[in-house]
Amino acid sequence: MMSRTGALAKSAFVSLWLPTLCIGAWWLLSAGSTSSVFPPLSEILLAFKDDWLFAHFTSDFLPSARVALEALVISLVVGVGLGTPLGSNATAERAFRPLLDFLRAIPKVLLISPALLIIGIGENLSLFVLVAGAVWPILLATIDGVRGIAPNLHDLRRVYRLSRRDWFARVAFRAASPQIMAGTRTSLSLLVVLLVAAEAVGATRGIGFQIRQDADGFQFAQVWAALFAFGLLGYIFNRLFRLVEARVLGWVNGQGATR
Amino acid sequence: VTVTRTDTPEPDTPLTLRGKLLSSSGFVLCRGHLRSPDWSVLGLQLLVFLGFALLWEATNRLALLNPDNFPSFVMVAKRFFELLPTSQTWTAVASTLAGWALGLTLSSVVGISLGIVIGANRFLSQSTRFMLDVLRSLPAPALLFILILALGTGLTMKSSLIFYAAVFPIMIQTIYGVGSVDSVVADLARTYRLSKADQFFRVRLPSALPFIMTGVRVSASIALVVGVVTEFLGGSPGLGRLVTDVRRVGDYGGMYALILLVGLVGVFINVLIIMVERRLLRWHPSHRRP
Repeated sequence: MMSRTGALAKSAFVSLWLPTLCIGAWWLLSAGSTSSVFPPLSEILLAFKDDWLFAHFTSDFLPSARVALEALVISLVVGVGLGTPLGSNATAERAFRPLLDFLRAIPKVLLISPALLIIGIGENLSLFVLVAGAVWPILLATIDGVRGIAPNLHDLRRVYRLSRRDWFARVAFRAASPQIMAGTRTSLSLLVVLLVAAEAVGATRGIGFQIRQDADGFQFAQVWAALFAFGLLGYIFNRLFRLVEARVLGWVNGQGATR
Repeated sequence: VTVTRTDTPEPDTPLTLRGKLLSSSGFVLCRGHLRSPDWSVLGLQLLVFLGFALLWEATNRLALLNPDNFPSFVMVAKRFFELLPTSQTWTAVASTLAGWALGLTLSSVVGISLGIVIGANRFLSQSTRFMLDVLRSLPAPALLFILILALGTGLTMKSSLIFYAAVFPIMIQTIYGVGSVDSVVADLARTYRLSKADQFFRVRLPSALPFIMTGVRVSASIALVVGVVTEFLGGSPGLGRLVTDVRRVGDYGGMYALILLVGLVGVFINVLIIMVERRLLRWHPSHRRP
């Protein structure tokens, strides 16, 4: 028992000494700062408390989180939905590959410009831009995953006479899930990047909208605070993703499940 | 089979999959389509592009989207070839590529060297894990609003932001790669009493290289995205800014044409990175010619 507590304390120390040191250094170095762009850390934390715990929490933090989640769900449905048939048909995959590669290579932040004309300012704009960005990693990962399914699984399908639906739902999707999860992780970081841009230009609420407002008003403690809010959002997403990953991929070489 | 994860795995989650995942595009090159052109496939691929153009044209002609905001494909193509030879376009392409190259080079140098130092030391890699996790969760474009006032809108600011966005995937992959050398090979190197330097440069580094290159490949596309975001939001010179400029003057055909051009730049960057990767990893099973 003692040794377990000791081990826990040691691992906590090992992972926390460096961040503590850095935050301490930031605190001390910024304490007397008179620069408006780099305010003292104490002021930033105060602004964070005032803005994000909890004045803007429901009005901006939650809407941002919701848009990102919705975009992720839509991207998963579209990406897996299109990727599965493309991955199981070699000719179709080769025919579509160059177009997909090209569309994927367009930095989706640029779609904000046409979206401003076609969709107009609002949450739908963010949703569109986020889906347009996040769908590609998932789609291409699904194609790779489904294409890479071991040949003996295809034999299995014939032997057991699985219907197409059962095959996709029970075997193909599962077998491709490690790749799909890897693609989803890439999408996740893209989502947050695009969220900043889409909300800063084309939204009337959200963290990105708020950070733009604060920056335009030269409220730099608030800008830093909003930055922390974005970091928090990204971190929460990463942790949640890891939980899901551990569940979904528990069967792959003990991936995730053991931690 | 050596496995390279497409994203940036935590240093403690080995994922062994069959085959190699490729997250960035470039399958065209990778899978040898270009080496031996198969005319029927090439025809199909052209058909797909034609279908895309037709769909675009139909959307405009049938007014599925307001034709004022969504010009016809023919019109966009015309603007594309009008804009292509202008110095304005090429200056923008050059600015975008300069920021990309500078940011990616800096983040590769720093990310790989720090990653090697951290990855070779257990205490350091455990100590930095949480911190790296938090730092890379912070979306780089959000930093833009602060950096712009500290550094202005020029190349310095753009490449600093790209550096921030691109350095963590490379560093994390390097840490992971350095830590995941095959224990049999490492034992063999010790048994043959290779010097410490040889053990590092001949065993550890080469076996980490595929992981490092995955990080660089992921970061290369992140670098382009963040560079364009900086131009788009922050007004740094480059393609992202040019797209906004032509939209503001109402040249919507030009706007779509430029977006397509940025896509071509993206494809070019992907192909470039894959060529570098292949050159460096010629010896590796995933890149050897069958």
